[in-house]
Amino acid sequence: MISRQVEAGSVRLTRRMEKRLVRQACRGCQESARRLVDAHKDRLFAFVWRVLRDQHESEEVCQEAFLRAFSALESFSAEYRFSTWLFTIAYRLCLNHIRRRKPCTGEVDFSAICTDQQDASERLAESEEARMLKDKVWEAVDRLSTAQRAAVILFYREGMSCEAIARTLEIPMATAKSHLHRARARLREELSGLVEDWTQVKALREAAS
Amino acid sequence: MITCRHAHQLFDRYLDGELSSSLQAELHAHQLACSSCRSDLALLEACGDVVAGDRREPVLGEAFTERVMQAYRMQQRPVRRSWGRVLVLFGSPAAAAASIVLAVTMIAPTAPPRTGREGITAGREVAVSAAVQGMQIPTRQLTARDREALARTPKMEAAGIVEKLVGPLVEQTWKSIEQTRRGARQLEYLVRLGPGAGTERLAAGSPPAEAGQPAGGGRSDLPWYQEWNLLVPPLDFDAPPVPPAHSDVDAELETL
Repeated sequence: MISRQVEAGSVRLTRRMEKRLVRQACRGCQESARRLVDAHKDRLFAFVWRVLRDQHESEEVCQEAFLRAFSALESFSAEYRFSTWLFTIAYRLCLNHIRRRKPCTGEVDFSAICTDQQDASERLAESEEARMLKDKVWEAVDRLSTAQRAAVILFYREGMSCEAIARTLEIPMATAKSHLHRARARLREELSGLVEDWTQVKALREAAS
Repeated sequence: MITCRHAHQLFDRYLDGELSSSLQAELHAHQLACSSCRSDLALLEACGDVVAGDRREPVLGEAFTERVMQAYRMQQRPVRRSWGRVLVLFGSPAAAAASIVLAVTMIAPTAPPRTGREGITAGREVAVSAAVQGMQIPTRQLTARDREALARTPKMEAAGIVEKLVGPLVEQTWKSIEQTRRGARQLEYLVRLGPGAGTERLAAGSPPAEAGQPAGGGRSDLPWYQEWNLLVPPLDFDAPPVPPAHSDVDAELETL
């Protein structure tokens, strides 16, 4: 079974700490609000960027999501994680952006993605073939529908359960599962011709982990 | 041993972490024998690994946090209300309240005054009758006092009650509007004439001057407010509405 990676670039808050920060931010504490932004911005941006595939729009959506979350902190239920709530707001904003803009082609130029931020040694260690395979996987992910893509990213990247995905995307759990299963079926369909043998898959997994 | 079709059906439950241990064992056993299924599952696992671990997205800098915090501070700052906004916010409800008070003041005298016990009893009769007829309450569910009140009330349809209650109110409101319009027209007529102009015309036995015409001749010794009194007949609230004479001022008033 896949070991789902949930560790993120930004510091993850404990539930207790998160509740305290939310409480203080609710009272108008700027420092707590800043810590909440710092703790969630990278994960949120990664999710939004994968859904929208546009840096400018993604930044805009993230900023709007934080502001909306802060302005409605009083209505936040401590029963859920702040991140779930934040992702829900961001996903809604993403859908609004997608509806507003022209239909996109689905083509993504991965060479333009900040490869300069990657560690040089890491880049050397990674084989050209594995990098190409990873790009193909992302291209296939990008061709999924918005809801399927969001479900896949929340499941694998955020380590969310189907129940949490359903809550975040505001859909029934059966629908969330269906999105995830259909996404897998499409990925398998699109990538099965690409990966010829077992060794390539192994190389891909090693490069990814 | 499960078939490839069964194995494929189990993939999703396995990847979701919802497969029981016995079925997991079956799936592993099948994978050992079937390279195609093994490759398919490995591919899906590899996709998951790429999505989870490949972090080549652009990152947000410190400037983003600053930007959000700045926008947040702006959001927290209390909004200064302009007078226009205050008028819109409070003027409309105030105007509505004033209209209601005015309507009630003007309409109230039309209702026949019924005070004390008589008034209460009458109210009870109407309420009971309306409830029984409108909501179709069985008479046996009423209290003895209500049944008594119902017996005193003449039978009438629900629509009849509404007509009787609302009809006079609407009529009185229309009457008030007409009176206000007539008053406005007379005031406008006064303004058009100007102080003192009508007195001279009246003294000469001629009709009042038209708008725009200069008023000549000497002035009377009466103070200006008395001169105006001479010009304007006392308002007769019971008189039928006067059709407005067409003029530019009328057209302007219409557009308001």
